[in-house]
Amino acid sequence: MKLNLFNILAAALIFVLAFVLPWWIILLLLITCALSFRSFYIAIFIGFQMDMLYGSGHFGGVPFLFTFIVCVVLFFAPLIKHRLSFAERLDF
Amino acid sequence: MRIIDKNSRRGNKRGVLTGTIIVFVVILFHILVPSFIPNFFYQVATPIVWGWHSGVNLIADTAFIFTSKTRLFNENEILVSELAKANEKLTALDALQSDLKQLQKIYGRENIESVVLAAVLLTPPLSPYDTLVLDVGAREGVEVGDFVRSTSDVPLGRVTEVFRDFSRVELLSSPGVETAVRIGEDHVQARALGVGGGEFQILLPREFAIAKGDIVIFPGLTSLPIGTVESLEYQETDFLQLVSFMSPVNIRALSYVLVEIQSREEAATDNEIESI
Repeated sequence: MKLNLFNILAAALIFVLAFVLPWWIILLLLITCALSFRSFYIAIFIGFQMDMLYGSGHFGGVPFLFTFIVCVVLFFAPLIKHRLSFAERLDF
Repeated sequence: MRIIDKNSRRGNKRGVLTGTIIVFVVILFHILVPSFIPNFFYQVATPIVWGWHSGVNLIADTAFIFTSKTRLFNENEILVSELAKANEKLTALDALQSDLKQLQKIYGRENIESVVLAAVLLTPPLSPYDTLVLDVGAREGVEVGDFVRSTSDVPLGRVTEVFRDFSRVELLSSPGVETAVRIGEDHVQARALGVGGGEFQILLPREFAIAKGDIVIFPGLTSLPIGTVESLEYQETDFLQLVSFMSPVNIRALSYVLVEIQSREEAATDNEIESI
């Protein structure tokens, strides 16, 4: 798992922002980071944090829903990354 | 053709494997000790959330200094007239409230309830699942199923999870949650379906005369208001009408709520708290 300084700083920032910003902004930030950074697996931790904070168990009976969505984002990010010009330029 | 370095690919695979193992271990730990990780996150969240709110309030207060005086004067005039109208209604309601309490006392249904005031730590739209996080938990005697209402007595939801110092509340307006209500002047019984963000919908036959502005109440001795009808939708050929209503409380701006601790003589003992 490649963890460079930018990865850690971005993850730390999103970790704090997850307590004070709406969930969809956090999801957008995670998608942007997944497209900008090469191995942003730390996003799974942020997804897990969201599920722990707000509890998804009673939401349609799907546990760890946000974590699952983040995993899907991380899976598809590399596949569409090389098609986006900004992502190639920011590829840390 | 894109050439991928073998080492980088191997490194990526190792990374995915390590990540998967870490996530698996954490989830397993969470299943074994369900309240430990949420409690940890809430402990971390508390100072950040309060700090953020203080900062936002400070900025709002500073911005207020620069607000136009004319605009403030006009706003003040409107608010004064609205307050006078509201006070008029409140006086009538107070009289009815005391009558209701008297009647309940006569018929042996005096409402003796124990209520805990709770600060709201996290609200929608922060939460993706339309839940509230309160700063009271097992220590204060909160239990799963306890009813939560606003400080102005508007029903909000029920406690779904309780931790040592925190609890989670599922709002009545959470998507998919059904609540029994009474609607309109005839107090028609219906099931309101939560659609998120303090909004509800009801499907009713068109023969029931429901109008915009009708009050929707939560059935019970005190008939707490749960919302007012915002819109009615139907086609001329339809048999049913879709009634949409909103909670009078702005859920996004909630700071404090009341948790009803009913049907229990005393709060959880220390041993019970320790086991949570």
